[in-house]
Amino acid sequence: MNEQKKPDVEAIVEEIRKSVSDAEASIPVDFREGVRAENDLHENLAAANRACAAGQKVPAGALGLLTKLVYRLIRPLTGEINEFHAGVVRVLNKLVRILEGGDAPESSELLEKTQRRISMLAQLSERLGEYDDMNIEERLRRIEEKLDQAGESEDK
Amino acid sequence: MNIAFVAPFYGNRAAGGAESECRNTAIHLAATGINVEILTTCALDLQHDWNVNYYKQGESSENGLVIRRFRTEPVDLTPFAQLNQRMLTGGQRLSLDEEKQFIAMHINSFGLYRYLAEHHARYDWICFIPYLFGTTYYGSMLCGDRSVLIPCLHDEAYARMGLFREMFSRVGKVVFHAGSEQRLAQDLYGDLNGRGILLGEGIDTEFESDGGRFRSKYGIEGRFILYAGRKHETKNVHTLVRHFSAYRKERGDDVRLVLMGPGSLSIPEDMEAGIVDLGYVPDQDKKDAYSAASVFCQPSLNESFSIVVMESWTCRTPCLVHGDCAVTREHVVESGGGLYFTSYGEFRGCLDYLLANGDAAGRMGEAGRRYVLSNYSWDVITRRYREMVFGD
Repeated sequence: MNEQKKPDVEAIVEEIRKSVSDAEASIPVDFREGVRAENDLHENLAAANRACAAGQKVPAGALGLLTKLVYRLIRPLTGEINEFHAGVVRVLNKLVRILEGGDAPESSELLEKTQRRISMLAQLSERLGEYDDMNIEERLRRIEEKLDQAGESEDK
Repeated sequence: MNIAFVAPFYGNRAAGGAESECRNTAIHLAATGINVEILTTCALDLQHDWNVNYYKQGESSENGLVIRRFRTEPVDLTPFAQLNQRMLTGGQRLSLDEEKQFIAMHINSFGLYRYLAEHHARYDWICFIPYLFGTTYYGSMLCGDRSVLIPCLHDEAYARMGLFREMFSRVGKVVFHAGSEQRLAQDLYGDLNGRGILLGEGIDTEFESDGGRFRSKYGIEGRFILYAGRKHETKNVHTLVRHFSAYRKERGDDVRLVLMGPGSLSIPEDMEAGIVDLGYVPDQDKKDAYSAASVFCQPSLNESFSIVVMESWTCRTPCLVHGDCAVTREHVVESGGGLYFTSYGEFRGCLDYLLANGDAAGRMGEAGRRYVLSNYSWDVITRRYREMVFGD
């Protein structure tokens, strides 16, 4: 493609790979959950479902026991908050299902309209198939056949 | 010679790689003396309501091309969204009847189909772009051997629909942008029996760009990595932001990430100084930014060509692409114009290499530019269309 020597990409990437140990290859945990496209509705909804109940994260060891105790003491308060969060998340889940048509009743009118559309397109393509078939060569061939047939019957 | 391009959307405002390719290819082919017409709908683009006929129906002319617009069929998005959702997030294969429903509810225009049925013989070749639309599926059905499919094929759920296997088997010719796209088509649809043509895509290589102008206009100093494109999960830009956040935290503050393009993305609070989101910028500013950037990054996993990579190379800027995208990886390896990564460790290693080895990065940028000029400049692409596709 060109006379100048091009960089050997595979060799450079291979060298880079050798310098990266398996442990280093993965991204630091801190950054795994940190970035999310705002327009990914489902990922955000799943995150809301996961995070809607307070008092779920309990560290290991003695600190965990202490955390559990604190959670138990404030349960009357967190219970009300959790109930509110759960209600909101349920409404969101329902709304998303409706918006995407998951809970919408299947309208027979819609299905009929779709079927009509499909059959119209099928008819159109069939008509064009016939149109394509009826080219001049084909017509001439058919006329010749008929002339031959007529000639044969006259001979008889 | 009379050629028509059939596209679901057409116009200055139709954003998208296929729409842009259709427009530019048609204009450049017309400039070589071919009579080129555009057959399209009145809809604006994929992002806007397909039921709204934004453009007036009828014939007009623009840039030496005749444009014929036809009204779209009304679409009920509820059942369409159900099928779409099942394919994309449920990972389900649709039955053949469901596939037919899907494509019948996609962008269609009976007016366009009637026109093609009656007038297709007026054209020597009719090019359909891209694969995933009713206008391409039904339109190519109506034109038989005269049809040239420019699929812009990605490795995605839609590509596995049985209807498209049938479409690929009946079109006259298929134009591919990259070898990996052609191999994907062969894997999905079988042997094309010599009808597949590896042609590429035209790139404007004559533009002027000024990195200093970009820096002074936007107040950006120092080294930066550039991303230009839609900020959406499907473009894998969140991976770039995540990797870059980790990189900057590890390596220090002297490099930034500049994002440009439509869409929104949440940026970690502690990265606000390191990541600059410019949103939509004018085309000239984007070209200036290529020249100002140390590295251009294309993290997308689903590209059938990647114009931004080519534009970046035209400005001699090396590219870092995702190794799991067969097309961009092939471009980078073929050209020598950059590096690829598949993990955070490799991303860090590649950035370290490109930022620390200015000479090597410069050679990669030059190699990328040579690759673009010799393979994808408009005179090369229009000659290939005339010789390899239209048999001129």
